[in-house]
Amino acid sequence: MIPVAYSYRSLFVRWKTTFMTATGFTLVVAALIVMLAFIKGIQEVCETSGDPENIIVLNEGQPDEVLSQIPRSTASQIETARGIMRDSQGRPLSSREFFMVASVYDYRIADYVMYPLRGVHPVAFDVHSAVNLVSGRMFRPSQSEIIVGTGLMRSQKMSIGQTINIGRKSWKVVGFFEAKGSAFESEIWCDLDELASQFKREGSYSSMVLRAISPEAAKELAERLSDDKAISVDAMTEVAYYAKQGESAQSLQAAVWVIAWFMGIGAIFGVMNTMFAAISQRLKDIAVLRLMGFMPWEILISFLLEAIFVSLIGGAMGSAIGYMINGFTQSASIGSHDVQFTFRVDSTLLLLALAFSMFMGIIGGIVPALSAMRIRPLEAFRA
Amino acid sequence: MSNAPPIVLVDRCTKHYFRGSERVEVLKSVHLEIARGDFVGLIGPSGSGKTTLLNLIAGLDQPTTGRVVVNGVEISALTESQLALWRTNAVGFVFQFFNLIPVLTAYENVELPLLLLNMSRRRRREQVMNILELVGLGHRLDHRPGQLSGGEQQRVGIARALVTDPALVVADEPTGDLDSRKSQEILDLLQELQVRLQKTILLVTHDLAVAARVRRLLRIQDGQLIDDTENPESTSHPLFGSRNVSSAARRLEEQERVKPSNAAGA
Repeated sequence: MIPVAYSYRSLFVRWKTTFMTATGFTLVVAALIVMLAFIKGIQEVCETSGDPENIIVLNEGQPDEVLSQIPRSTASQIETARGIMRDSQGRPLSSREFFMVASVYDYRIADYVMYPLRGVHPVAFDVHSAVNLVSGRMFRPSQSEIIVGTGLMRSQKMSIGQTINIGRKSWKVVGFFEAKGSAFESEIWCDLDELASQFKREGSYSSMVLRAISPEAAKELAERLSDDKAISVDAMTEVAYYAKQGESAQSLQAAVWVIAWFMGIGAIFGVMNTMFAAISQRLKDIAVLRLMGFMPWEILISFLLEAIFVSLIGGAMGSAIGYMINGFTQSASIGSHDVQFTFRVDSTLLLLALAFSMFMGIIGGIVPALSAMRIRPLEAFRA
Repeated sequence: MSNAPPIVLVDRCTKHYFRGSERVEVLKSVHLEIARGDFVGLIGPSGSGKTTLLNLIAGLDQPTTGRVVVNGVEISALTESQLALWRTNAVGFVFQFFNLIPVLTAYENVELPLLLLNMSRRRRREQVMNILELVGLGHRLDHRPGQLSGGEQQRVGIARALVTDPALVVADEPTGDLDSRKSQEILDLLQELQVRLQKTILLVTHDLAVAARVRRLLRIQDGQLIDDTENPESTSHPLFGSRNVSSAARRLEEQERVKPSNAAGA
């Protein structure tokens, strides 16, 4: 085999060209990592948002809480169903909830901000076991008090004691809660009756969350409720609900790869051009190698390796840039939820991006390498 | 000359190619035998066919008719891949412009042909070190061609040609890119190696000063061998009757101008 040193040292001899060509790969790889880190962050939120023992109930045909309305009478009927966990006093662990997205004017940025609001009763904290108050205190009913998820708190830089004008009322932030990184951390929670009253929705709820006695019971109960023609609701486990919400991220992933390929075409032509130039400058080298007895395929491998090295250099630079986004928090809409998610760049993603870069290098390098392989020594000496 | 079979046999070889519809005869029924261990020069003006003949003998090109046998192998009957394998073992090349790989060190350049042979790293190292010591470059192993003088680069080129211990070394204008002092050094080296290692060397040149150093000189013109002289510098050959090589060179040029196709036959 032709020494690998021949391939990589040739790159450093013409380092400016190598650097410029590698930059094409850097941009593609960095963009790919950022886009995939975004999707991974969204998927992570969707995966962690569901509790397998919880069931979300919406009215039939409504895929989202914002548009759903469950009448009070139906809610009472649902709570009698078998399989719902009960507390020590025999009351069902059923959280009736009113969810809405409020447009709030923020004077600090002189613009409207969308706040997801969830009105709940105290039982919600038993049903949503992941939700924990981490600072301040719980809101009190009829006192216009709210607690805020830590994701929203960080993005909106909220503090305890701050007031927010929602509708005609001014609400006071009294505490912050965590919810294991789930979509709830992007919400504001307050008293259900107070919120429903303000927005004239006392007669119905957006959704109900029921806590089943086990994950298996949850699945069975969800099916039973959905099949019950008398109550006209759609019920599904929280895990299934958020997985469905995350489906948009899946379709986005396909789009990301299409974009990456289109961007990659530029890098492919870049390395192709560079390699053709390199070959035309090294015809004598090729002739000497062939003359010594190196086979055409060894010439092909040597020049292909050179193209791969360029793509890996570019890929590594792109990975380093892309990695900078790791841990960066941003908000995005999943269904009607505006959730806080974190860009996630892990080793799998970095390896995937490097492999993609290498694959582009192979595509861009193969045509020039084939042409190098076909060079006849005598003709190369005469050139 | 001894009766041992020749190491090189060029048996009535012709070579022609087409330039458009015009047929160009490069070699016209050339017959040549070279004895093992001989130091042979091939001289002729540009376009006379000397490089084509060299290429046939070195297995770089195939004759249109006739056959070429080197070291008992009829190379004119080999396929391209068989020729590539044969070249690795049987022939070493020395070039006018050295043709070293610029990104590799002197050591790595010399080691290159050995990578094609099934040889341990240790044995490769021994062989490379020995040959580089022999050409006087044992102290320049890690230098790249750009860091070596022209003479030193050619020494590396010679070491690379000899490192596989080939039976035949072909040298195409090996001093063509060197000044006269360096040329003499390279010729001294080639002569010394030819004697010490018992190599057969075929050297192509158009320089009479170089031609005067070989044991046997072949003259080619218009695709035909027109002269075959042993010990040219010591004979009363019209070109070398005088020890003054430069005046001989002038005579050769005049001779070629006056009677350009004075074919004496091969």
